[in-house]
Amino acid sequence: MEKTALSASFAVGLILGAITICIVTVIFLLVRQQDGSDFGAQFDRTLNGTNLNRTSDGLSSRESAAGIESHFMAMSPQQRTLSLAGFVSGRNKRELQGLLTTAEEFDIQEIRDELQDAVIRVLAVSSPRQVLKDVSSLPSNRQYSLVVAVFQEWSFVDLDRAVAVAKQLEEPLKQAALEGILTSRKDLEDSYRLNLANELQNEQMFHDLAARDLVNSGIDDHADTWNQLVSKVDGGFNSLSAAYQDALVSVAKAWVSQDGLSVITAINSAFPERKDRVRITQLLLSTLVSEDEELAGDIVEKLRLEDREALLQVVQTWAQDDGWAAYRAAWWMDQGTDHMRMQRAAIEGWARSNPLSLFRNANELTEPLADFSRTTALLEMRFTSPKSVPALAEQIEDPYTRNLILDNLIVHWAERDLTSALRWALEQDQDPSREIQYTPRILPIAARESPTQALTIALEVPLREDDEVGPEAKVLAMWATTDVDAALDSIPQMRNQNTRMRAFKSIGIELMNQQDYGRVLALVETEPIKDQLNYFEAVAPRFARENPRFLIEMFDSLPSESIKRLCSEFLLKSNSGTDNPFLTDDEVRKFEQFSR
Amino acid sequence: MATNKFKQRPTQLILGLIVGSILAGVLASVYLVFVEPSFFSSGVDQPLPNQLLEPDSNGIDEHDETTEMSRLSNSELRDRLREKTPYARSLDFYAILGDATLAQLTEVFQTNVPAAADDLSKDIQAAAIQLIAGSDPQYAMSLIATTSGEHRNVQVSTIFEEWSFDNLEEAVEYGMTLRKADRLAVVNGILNSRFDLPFAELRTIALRLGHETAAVDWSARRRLNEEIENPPEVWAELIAEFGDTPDTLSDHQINLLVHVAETWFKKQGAEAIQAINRNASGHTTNALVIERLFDLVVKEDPEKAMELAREAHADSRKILTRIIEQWALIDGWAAFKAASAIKDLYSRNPIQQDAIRAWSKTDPASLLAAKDQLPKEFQSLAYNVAIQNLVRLDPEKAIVHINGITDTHTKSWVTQVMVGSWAEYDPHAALQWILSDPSVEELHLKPRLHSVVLGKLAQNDPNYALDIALDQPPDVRTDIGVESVVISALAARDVDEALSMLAHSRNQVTREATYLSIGHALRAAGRSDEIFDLVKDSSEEVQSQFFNSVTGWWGWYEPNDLFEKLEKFPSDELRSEAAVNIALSPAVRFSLTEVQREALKKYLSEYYWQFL
Repeated sequence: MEKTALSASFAVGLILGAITICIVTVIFLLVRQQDGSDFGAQFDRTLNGTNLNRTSDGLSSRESAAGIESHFMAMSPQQRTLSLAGFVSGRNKRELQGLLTTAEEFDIQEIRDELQDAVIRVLAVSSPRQVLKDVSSLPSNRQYSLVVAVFQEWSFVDLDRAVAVAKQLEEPLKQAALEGILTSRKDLEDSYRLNLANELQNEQMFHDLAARDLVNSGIDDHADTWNQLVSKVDGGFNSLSAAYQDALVSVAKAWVSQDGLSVITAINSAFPERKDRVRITQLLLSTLVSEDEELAGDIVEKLRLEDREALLQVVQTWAQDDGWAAYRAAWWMDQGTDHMRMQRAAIEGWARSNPLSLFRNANELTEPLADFSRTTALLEMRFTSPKSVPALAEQIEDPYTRNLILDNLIVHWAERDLTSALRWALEQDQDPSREIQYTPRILPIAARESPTQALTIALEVPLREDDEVGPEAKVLAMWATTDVDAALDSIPQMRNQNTRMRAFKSIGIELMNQQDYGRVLALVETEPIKDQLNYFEAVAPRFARENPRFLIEMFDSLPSESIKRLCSEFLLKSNSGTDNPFLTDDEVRKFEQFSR
Repeated sequence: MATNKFKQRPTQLILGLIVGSILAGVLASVYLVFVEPSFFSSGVDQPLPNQLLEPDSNGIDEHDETTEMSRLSNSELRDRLREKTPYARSLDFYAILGDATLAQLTEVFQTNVPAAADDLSKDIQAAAIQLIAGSDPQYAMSLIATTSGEHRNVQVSTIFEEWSFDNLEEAVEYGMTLRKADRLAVVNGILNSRFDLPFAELRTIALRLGHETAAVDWSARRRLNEEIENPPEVWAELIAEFGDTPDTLSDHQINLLVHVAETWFKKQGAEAIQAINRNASGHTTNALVIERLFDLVVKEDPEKAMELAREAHADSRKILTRIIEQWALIDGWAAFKAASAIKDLYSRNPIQQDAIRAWSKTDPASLLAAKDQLPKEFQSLAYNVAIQNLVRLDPEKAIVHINGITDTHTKSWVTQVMVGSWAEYDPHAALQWILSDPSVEELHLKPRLHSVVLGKLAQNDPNYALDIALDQPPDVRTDIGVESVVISALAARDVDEALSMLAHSRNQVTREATYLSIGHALRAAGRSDEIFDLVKDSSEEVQSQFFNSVTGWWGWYEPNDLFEKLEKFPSDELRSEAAVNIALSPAVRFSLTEVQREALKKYLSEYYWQFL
């Protein structure tokens, strides 16, 4: 009993003691949070040392946002940097956080961004976690650069903790944190920094920043810079990140501008693949054409002489990025040469990437190319947006070209949008003056989707004039590929004997595909003998090649002498054309007798 | 009772209080020291302030700025800066250099020419040139006369930031004397510095300097950061300003439009999309923005994106395809199911296919596993693309899969699909497998697979490809060696090397099998005269077949060139065939002059005259 009482007293004392200290600690923290009067004193003193306060004399953080803004607006960039530093120095944490909010009221975003950047950087050294929270309350599209700033400062004073927190961030702020760390801690070994990038799952950023640093370093030995960049590349130019590509092109441009055309050979030797050469040349020309026309012209001529096809591809690739720019460059390249070869290439590239844009802009192109552009665009659109082609084709004046486009269109359209294509085709085919009908061409596609519906439509389409065959035969041909029996059941619906026999031939070929040779022979046994002969003319050659032994075995039961003669000819022909003859001497003699 | 007990045992209570306080104190200290050290960091022992505050070792008063620069050697300057945080360092530049004379600044600038991986020199130079530009910008420009590339752009921009602030007109006048690349840096400098001016004025300046687009982009970039209170109004303003055709828009302008649309969407949901979508048919700015907007939504919540598309009547096939494709990269099955639920027949089937293709790119193994659960009409496609991508991501796994197939027909085509894809990115590995795996022999696929892989290998390692090809037996029926594939593939990349390889071919039929590819390559290289030499030793029949084939693309791409070579063809029939190919070229009307077109008629039957 005594022991229990002792323990209880001790436990109560323990709890009370802990609670008291906790309360004291919380109060201490709250007071620190509110006060922070010592905060930034060191900045004050430092900046006194650098006399940064002088330009902000008299400017209080309690000044209105407009007052602060107008104060800084009247300064040059350099003055403003000094003045902002002076302005933020000597402020406590609460005041600095207040400035972040005040800056949000500025009209001039440059001043807002510069002030917030200065505040963030000061806070980042002492309260990095808090400042990350402060940043998260700002508009999301401005958070990236501020997070970069936080981690630039933080990682300099406490790398481990900065990295640990960076790992917990979500993208893209995690990337921003890494950018801050890598740009700030260049004093570390490359391998260590690469490892940091790995830890933050973005090794590419390390390489991209290294490339950017090298390019921006101010070293004017472009050959050396190029070689350094290239030495880290494993693979083709097109496999590199956009940032690395930019870095390479930037150096290449500076190099060729300084040392002239001879440099191009060295650049190309680093990336021997044509597609790489094409892309590098395109990126170089995209700015050089307007900046240094003479140099750009030399590059074009050199490539034209060395690899004319590659020059075409330069324009085509360019057109896929920017049709207009590529066309203008191609026009310039064509001056005095080549019969608009480059312009044509640009138009073809443009059509592939954005045919509607090309069509809309066709009128702006050099006159003889306008029609070509419209046609090329519409032919390309049959793959991408067939539905819009008929209406646009109305703008093509030349009837031959218009029909060419529509004839090419219909099957592709039906493949993508059968209902619309069929509706349009049936409508167009009402016109009796049209020689070639669209509907029969797409009925097989319709049959693939819905054979019964396709058959119904087909039976409404007029028979072909030359042989009086109805399109329903094509429907049955397609139907047979999925259901031979259903197709056979529909034979009675064929409108005449020609159509019926055309359908039989298709079904017979399909049966042959299925290696159902018995049915191939029996398929037309009730048809007139003349039609049977026609049928065998279509199927026997393949039969004789694929399964001659079966044909030989069934030979005596073939329905007529003329059919036997026909099959004999094909068997003999097939036998003589193969490396391994299949007929015995007796059989050869027998079939030779029939074929005479 | 209990109270009495505590009264009876005050020592125990006090002891408990002390121990409890100590424990809690220790815990609080651990938290403050190790978890939130910033609470103790405002004192004099804070790391950053120490760096900033470090007094000079020689004890000279640091307020004595006039002596600051002169008493520091360059190495001391660098040492002092090296240990600072980025921000402290940037301020220290001004502290040290702020009152230096022009001569001193010049010396600093010239002494700190950057060497490899030397950011400090670059930063010191940047500060020096900014300070020099503040007092004598023309002199600053003379100092950077020999710099080039990106570094020069940054320096020019810095100089003109200062210059345009002090004397805008003088800066512009001077800027106009510079070359075009420099003038872009000038415009950037002015825009960075003179945001106090109305945009119209800045645009005019940029126009004078030949870089109006830079000002337009700058404005779009700035507006991206502005708060949008009334998105429909801002949208209408922007469309009126930028126009309805996306061809003329820069990336920054498009980003701005997308940002406005996104803000609008966040405020009004589907209604915003519906409003933008009203003018989104065809190739319009609205259509482009709607696409980009859905790209953003689908990243957040693909299901919601599909619902929105339906709700806002923006469910065009293009939009649905974009949504489903991106969704499939995250969750293939869910995307395929969503595509299968599309009501419009026109859209459904192709989008289902797109879903499968996208699914295969990120997770071919799961697609392969799910293949049999897909509707029958998609199983073949799924199998194809899954194998193609599996071999790209994990060749071992693909091989294991193939070895597990028992049906010969299936195994044969899946093997071909796999090798076709493998050869695209690693032809060496694919070749090794073909040469070593017994199933290739069993399936009688060796010649076919050799063609595929050696054709690809010819692009990177033609000599090795040729050696391997020559080791293979020729085709039993035609006697053509597989080196014809190597030479033909190589011709498209390096026609001279392809021509030199002809001598290594095993026989004439193999050489002749390559002529068409070489002929096309010679035509493309503008060396069509050599096409005629190619077949001069071949039979009349081979010549005839060759010319009939080669003139197809020749006439299509180079009607003028083919016209000029007509008389070189060995027979009237071939000339006539070539002329038909010229007439059928879409370029005939602008590549040939009227006189040439008239002259062409003599080779053509009257039927073809209509095309000229």
